[in-house]
Order: sequence, then C-alpha cells, then structure tokens
Amino acid sequence: MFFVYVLKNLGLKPAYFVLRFVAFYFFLFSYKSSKHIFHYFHKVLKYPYLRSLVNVYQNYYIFGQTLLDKVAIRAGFDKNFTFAMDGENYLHQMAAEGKGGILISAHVGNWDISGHLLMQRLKAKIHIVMFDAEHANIKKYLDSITGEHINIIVVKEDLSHIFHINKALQNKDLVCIHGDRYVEGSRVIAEEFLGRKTYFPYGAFHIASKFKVPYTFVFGFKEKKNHYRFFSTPLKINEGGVRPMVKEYSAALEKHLMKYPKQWFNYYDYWAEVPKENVLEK
Amino acid sequence: MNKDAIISKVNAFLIDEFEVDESKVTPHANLMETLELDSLDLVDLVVIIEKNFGFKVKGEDFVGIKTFQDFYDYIISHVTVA
Repeated sequence: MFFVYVLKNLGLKPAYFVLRFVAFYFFLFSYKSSKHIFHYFHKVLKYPYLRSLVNVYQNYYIFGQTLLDKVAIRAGFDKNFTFAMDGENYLHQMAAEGKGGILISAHVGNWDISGHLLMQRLKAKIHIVMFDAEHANIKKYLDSITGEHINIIVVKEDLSHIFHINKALQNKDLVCIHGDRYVEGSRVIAEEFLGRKTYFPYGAFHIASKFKVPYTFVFGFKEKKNHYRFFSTPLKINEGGVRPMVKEYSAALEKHLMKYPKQWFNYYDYWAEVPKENVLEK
Repeated sequence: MNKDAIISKVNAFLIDEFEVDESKVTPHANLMETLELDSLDLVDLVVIIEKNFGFKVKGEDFVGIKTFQDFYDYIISHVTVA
C-alpha cells in the first residue's frame, strides 16, 4: 500500500530509493530465503563468496523493482517504459490459429508485464494459472488498482482448475502456466538444469501434451531501469511425450538465466530431493 | 451402443488407464477415491472421455459425480444410446 502511494504520488525513482532499504532489510534478516538464493549464486552458478553475497542483495532489489514496475505499468503511473519482444510473432500465430495454446513460463524476471501488454495486442483471451489463493489475492488487488481484469485459474484441491483449463482451451483461449516450481505432493520429472538434477513439475507439460494444443516457452526480463525484453519460443505441439518437452524447457530457461542470472526468483531449496514416489520415469 | 456396452467400455478404459483392480470397480464405489485421481489423472480422464465418446467435458457436469454409477449415467446422458 505504501509503495502504491509513493508510486502514484512521487513516481518510480523515489519508490526505487525506498526499495533499496527494504531489499537491504530482507538481505540482512530474511535468512531462510537468502540462504537459498546465496546457494544459487555460490554453489550453482559458482560465483565467488563475496560476489554471491552482493548478488543476493541485488536479487532482492531487482525482484522488488519488478513488482513496482508491474504496478506502475499496469496502473499507468509511469508511461516511460519500453519493451522489446523476441518471438512475439509466435504468440500472434498461436492466437491466429484458433486452437488455443499453452504458454509455459517460470518464476524469473517479469513475465506478467508482457501478459498485460499482450492482452492489448493479441486477439485472444489469456488465463493465468496460479498455484494458490494467496497469489490470486495479490493479482486481484493489482486488478483493483489498475482496473484491468486478468483471468485467473487458481489451482484447487477439488481439481476444478483442470476443468477451467480445459474450458479455456475449448474456447481457443491461451493459458499461461509456470513450469518451474515444485509444489509439495505433485508429480515431477527429473531433468538436468544448470548442471544439476532438477525436479520440474509435470503438470504444465502434461496438460500441453494431453490436450495436444500448441505450446511455447515465454520469459520476460528487466534489462535497464525502464526497459524489458520478452522471449517466446517457436510453437510446437507435443507428440513425443513429456520428457523431451521438459528437456527443451530446461534448456530454454537455462539459456535465458545465463544472460539474466540475477532475475531468479525461487526463494526456497530449489534443488532439494523430492519423495521417490513423486518422480515420474516416463 | 447400448447402456451395457457403454458401461463395459468405460470400465475397460478406467481399469486400463488407472491400473485399478477390476473387483474395486463397482457401481456404488467412489470414483475419485477408487481410482486415486489427482489433477494429472483428471487431465487424462477428460482426454479419454472426449476421445472415446466424442463430446466435450464441462466442469459443471462433473460436480455431482461421486460414484461409478454417476459416472456411467453422465457418459450415457451424453452419447446416443441405441
């Protein structure tokens, strides 16, 4: 709320200034998440100790910036942002083909902003699948201050989200799902990622594979203060099972993360082992 | 296709796809619990229904389905019964 007030009345620069202190607070006191991000920089990317520490702070700061940018852009508080899209044509193609489609993203950078832009530019409805009600509430709050409506499909225990996704695809809409985050109890598939065995959730890939709709991997990253770049991979329809798809996804995510390593926003033990019974072999 | 043929077809794909013991598939058994369906299985089930019976599955139709008998009735109501 405080940041929205600052953004609205003072602009982005003062909000970024305040954010520096907030990011530093998290850097100092949020040991649990800092530990995992430090591990990512130091052990996974093999950065030296001190550089990893600095990157943890910068990671918090950039994460905060992406959240502020999201509000500033969607609410129209700041009109000075510029965007570049690599592969936007694939998304137009997906919309034009009228078969619906799955956009598989990740908790990196700021894909949400491109969703906002695409809603204005694509002739298709976009649904975003969210993994818990808390995120949905944040999104609803953003909608309330921006006056924009984003269709959210919340993953629920009663499995109703599967019918909502199916209905969206039947209506030839586009469905955006994150493909990188393991949710406890969900089934996963192991794949090499950043040189480590990583468990990717099966869901997004399984849905694209079973419903036989075109899919693309989409990522968005902050490049400079007021500039974002978005990426979309060529459209495919899965014919060869989930594993090759996950392999492609892992490679695409890794490629972009190498270019934007500070924009990795998974604040938990990402490479932890998962129960064997959850790991699928197919 | 008559009702019995539909029920046989449904049982055959459920037993095959979800690797459930045939003896557990009874009209009054709970569908979700017996098949131990999770979200990924439900995706499979939706696709199988659409592929085998040629109609689009709607979430609201599924709300009242608790038992295998409910499931048979749901399928029967959507296909032309001879």
